Amino acid sequence: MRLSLLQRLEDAHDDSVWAAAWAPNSNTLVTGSVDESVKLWQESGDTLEQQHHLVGLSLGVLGVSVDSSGQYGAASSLDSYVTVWNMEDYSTVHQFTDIPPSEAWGLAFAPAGEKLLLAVAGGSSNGVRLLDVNAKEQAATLAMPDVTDKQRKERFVLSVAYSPDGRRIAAGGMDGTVALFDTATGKLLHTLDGHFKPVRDLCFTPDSSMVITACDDNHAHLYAAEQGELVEAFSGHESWVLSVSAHPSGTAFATGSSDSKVKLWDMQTRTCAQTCSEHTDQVWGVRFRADGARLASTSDDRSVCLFDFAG
Amino acid sequence: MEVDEATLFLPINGAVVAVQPAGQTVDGLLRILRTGAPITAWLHASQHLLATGREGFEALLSEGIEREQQGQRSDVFGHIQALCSLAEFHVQQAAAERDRRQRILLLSSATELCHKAQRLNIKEQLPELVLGAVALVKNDVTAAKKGFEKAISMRCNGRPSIAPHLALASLHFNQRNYTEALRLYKLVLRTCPSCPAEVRLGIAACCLKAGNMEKAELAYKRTLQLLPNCTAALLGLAVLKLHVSNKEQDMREGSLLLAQAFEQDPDNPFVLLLLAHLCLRQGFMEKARQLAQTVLQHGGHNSVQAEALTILARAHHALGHMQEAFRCYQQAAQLDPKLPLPKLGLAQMSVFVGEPINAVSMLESLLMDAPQWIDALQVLGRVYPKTTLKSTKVVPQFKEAAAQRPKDAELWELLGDLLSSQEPAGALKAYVKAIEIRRDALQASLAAEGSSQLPPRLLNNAAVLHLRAGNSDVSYALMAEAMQAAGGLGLEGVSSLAQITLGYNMARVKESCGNLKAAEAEYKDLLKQFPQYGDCYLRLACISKARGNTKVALQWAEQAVNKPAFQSDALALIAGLHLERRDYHNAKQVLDKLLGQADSKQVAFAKLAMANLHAYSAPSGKRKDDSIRKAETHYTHALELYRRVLEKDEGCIFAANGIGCVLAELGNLSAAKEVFLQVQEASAASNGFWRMPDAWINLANVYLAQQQYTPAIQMYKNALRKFYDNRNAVIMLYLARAQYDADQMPEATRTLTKALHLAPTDHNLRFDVAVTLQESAVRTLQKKTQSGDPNRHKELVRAVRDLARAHRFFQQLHGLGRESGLDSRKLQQHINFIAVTHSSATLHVEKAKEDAQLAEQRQAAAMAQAVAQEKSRQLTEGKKLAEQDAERRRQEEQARSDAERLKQLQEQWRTNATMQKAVATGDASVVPKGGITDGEAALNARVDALFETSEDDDDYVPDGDDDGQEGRDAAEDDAVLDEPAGQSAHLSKSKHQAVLDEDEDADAS
Repeated sequence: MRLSLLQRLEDAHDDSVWAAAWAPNSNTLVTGSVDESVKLWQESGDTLEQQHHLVGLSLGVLGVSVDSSGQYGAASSLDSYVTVWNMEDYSTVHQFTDIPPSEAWGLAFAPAGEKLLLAVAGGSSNGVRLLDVNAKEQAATLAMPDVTDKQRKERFVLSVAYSPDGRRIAAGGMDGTVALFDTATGKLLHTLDGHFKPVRDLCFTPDSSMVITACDDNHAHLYAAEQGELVEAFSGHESWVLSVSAHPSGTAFATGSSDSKVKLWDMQTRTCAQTCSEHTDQVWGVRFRADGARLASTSDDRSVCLFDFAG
Repeated sequence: MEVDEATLFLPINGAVVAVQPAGQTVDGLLRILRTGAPITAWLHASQHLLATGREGFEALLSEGIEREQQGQRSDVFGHIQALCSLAEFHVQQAAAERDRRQRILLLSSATELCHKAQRLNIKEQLPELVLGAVALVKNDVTAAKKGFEKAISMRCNGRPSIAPHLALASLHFNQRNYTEALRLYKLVLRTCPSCPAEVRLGIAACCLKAGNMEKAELAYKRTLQLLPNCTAALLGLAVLKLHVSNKEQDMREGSLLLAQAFEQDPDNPFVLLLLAHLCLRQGFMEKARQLAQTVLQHGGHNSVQAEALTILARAHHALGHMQEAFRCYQQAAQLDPKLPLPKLGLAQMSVFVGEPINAVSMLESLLMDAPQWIDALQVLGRVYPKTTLKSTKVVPQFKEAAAQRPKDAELWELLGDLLSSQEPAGALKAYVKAIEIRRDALQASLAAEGSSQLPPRLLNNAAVLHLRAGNSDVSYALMAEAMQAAGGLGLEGVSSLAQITLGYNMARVKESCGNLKAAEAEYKDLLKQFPQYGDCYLRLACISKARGNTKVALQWAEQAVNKPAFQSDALALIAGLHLERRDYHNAKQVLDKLLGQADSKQVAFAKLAMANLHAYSAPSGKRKDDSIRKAETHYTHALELYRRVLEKDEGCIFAANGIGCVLAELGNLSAAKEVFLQVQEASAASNGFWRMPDAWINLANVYLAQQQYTPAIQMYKNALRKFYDNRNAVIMLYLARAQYDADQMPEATRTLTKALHLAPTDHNLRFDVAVTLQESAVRTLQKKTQSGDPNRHKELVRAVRDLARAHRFFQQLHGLGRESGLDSRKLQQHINFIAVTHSSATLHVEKAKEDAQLAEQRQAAAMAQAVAQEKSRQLTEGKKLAEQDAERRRQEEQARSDAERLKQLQEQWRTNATMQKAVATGDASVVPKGGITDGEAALNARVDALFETSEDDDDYVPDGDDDGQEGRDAAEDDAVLDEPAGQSAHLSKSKHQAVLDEDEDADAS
């Protein structure tokens, strides 16, 4: 397996690019930056071309997501507003403005279901907020487990992910707590142990059976979701692991790190298959496209890199 | 006439008597001589006795001299010869005499004899020569030299003689003054070509010593031509071949020469010694020992004996008979204190018996006499690490020696070993050089030999230093190669201890490359095999610490505390863990324990950490006298500890940094800055070996405190990029503070936003974001602008939005209550202030909106006006163009009429007789044509001028507006600068507090 750089888009934003998401079943990439804007890019002929520029996302964009239909895009900003827009005409569908500041961080749309649900990592609320986009209201909250461990002091949820089958939600926090919830009941299933430092990103494997985490302890962990067991710890990054994305085939995943590297990991051999050094500063976002043929990475160096993935 | 060598022909009473001294007793000889032999006969007879090694020389000669004195003979020279002979004999006896008093007696008798001889003839050379020899034995080289030099100016029995030249040459040779010796030998050879072959030997020896191998070889060969059996020449050549060259062929030739010399003169001690040397070199220790023993048994000069003893000692040394070796070295050193080798041996013995300090002092004094003696340097290089001594004294010698031997990998490696403790960057360079040399050598010999491995030790050491320099990747590659090399050598090649070290280092490198999992597994594996290997516990603790699992880290460290060798390291680590958690109480307890261990390796660390602890825990409240006094005690304590560390290790940049911090805390900013600058410089000069981000941060903090914002901002940014991968929220907070103070509000906000992104739970950051937003909005609102600025509305809208955001943040923080750690009163003030400002701001916005609309209208009007102007301009231009057209046509008309007039004139000229000539010589038609061209140019110029003015018209419209804009901008800037700080002063204080608190934290790491 191999990643090869197709394009290094310099100055994709005016400042650090913190978030990235591909629209399902399309060539549209969404990026969010501290420059208080979201950009939509269309890939054509192996290069990204800017399609639209959404501005006014106060204090910077923490996370972006596109729903399974590809109709809606969502972004959370540092002032804890969650903005949902129409991907076709870029009009604002709704802005959730009543989330208290510091109670929104990363976010993820639920896979196709009855309702259009959006999971938002709840920051200092120490839980996960489920927003019903169509009803323009909060549908539910999931509370992170109480931890008795004295070492775990910083109760702040940074990251959230839906399993592809929609049955599970995973969330990671500042103190290294990783929780697995049942979507239907909202019940806490497991606490995934092993991290003690901020888990800034996590994702499920395509078969929904495993969770991969990215942590400031320089590691990515692989957990068996249903058993709640640590299966593997991937080390190799020389600094914080900030972002993780599983390949749709389940054979690989990618990580981005503060060491400015993007690494590709082989799930079979459980080793690092490739290290990409195209970025010159922290890599905050890595995302595989739904068809698995592309990987996008975003960084503090203001650039966005587009890679071709060959299995 | 064939003469038996043993036959003496003595002129007695005018007749020559043939005597067979071998058949005569001394008494018999005496009897014959007493019959009236001249002094020369006595001399010959006695010399014969001496040459054949028989007793009686002195008795015989003394009697001859006595008889000569009484007999009033006229053979003055013979008399002098006899006296000098006896004197010379005494000199030689004195030289061999151990007893000092006896020696003095002998020498004074020799001196007296010489003086006697001089009384016979003051101009005679011989006594002067012998006196020179006396001076030599007395070790008075200057007097000897003077004596010989005086002798050179004298004559021997009325004839010139080369003897004093040779004596002086020998003196110079022994003084290592080879050029002067060589000059004298050459002089002798020129003045007396028939001189003994030994002169050439001298030349050869001089050349050999002076390093001129080719000439030396030629001289030896010439000697051999003259004296085919000259053992010394053979020996010299052998030395030349065996010791100087390294080629195999030369070795063989040298051995052959040596064998020849041995055959010729099997008892020659020098031959035996060289043979012994050769045996030593080739590993035949027993043989070498036997040879040396033979030399010793034969006796001889002290220096020869000493040499033999040295060889004996080395043979014993190599055979592992340390006691005997020690004894022999000692004897040799006593016999010939100038011989360096026995001292080297003794130094090695000292190392062997565990007295490295003695060895070092011996070697250092040795190196003073013989600078850059490689063998001594090498031993010294290996001894230093075993002592706590500083090797600074010989390091320059080492470096020079290494620089002169760019192919000596071993020496470079040794230099690396030597430097590793005090000059790691230099050590790394030395190792890299050693590796380079070895790789080159390998490449050269790769065709001949299959193996391509470098010594694992060298690779390992280089890898370790690379690791310390922060080059993890290079280090990993070298370590992998070292492991492979060690594997290739098998267990015999690498001791099990070395294997552990390699394994540990590999794990260490992996750890530093970020492969914590593999490193962890390998440490655990090593511990399974060698449970005493405490380093592994410590590293495991560090890995846990890196993962943020302090509890487990402490557990691992506790395990290492139980291993005595690692106790101090473990305690230091535990103290560090406590300090990191700001658990000062526990940290202090551990440090106290650490300081209590007298010989702890970590004393310096403990002192530093304790000093830091004092500095951190100094109360920062500046209001109460009590806390001020307390803080002073803390800082004094800290300063004292730092000072003590610096006393022991003046290069300790951590201590220096600490002093800088305390100075800054005490308000002495310029002194602190000086210290930080030095620390930073030292850190930069170490090529990455001492990473000291604190120096950067502290320096920036000082700049900030001195309101030098630009360097402060630059310094923070550099530190962030250089040391923290741009991801340290604390330093970003400092940076934001500097930007805020430098009135770079948008940058400050952005920096704080990024910091908050990294550390979302930091309430201080959130507070600062809100304050910055608020302040930025306030500044916008207070900005004095001319009404009607179209951008004003946008700015105000943004300001109002910023106020709203700040309000949200303040309210949230207020809502947290005590949890936020912020002053809730202060928060409420902010909230209230914003509420007021916000409502007034909305008015501003309304006004600005109107203004904007007005401005828009005005702009539209201006636009319309511009359009109108453009239209009128076009109109005018059209008119002008029409005018121009008319003008042109008029001019053309004019020109045409002019031309016509010209034609007419021409017609007139043509008819003119005088003009006809001109027409015949030139082309008259040119004249009218030229006229037309000129006319056209004039026209063009006029048209150009027209267009120029019309271009000016084009620029006219927008120009005026631009000027006005610029003027306003400048006015605005002034307004911002003059604006009172208001809320910012309040913020400054609170933020400064935060900065100082965090400052201490930065030091802890």
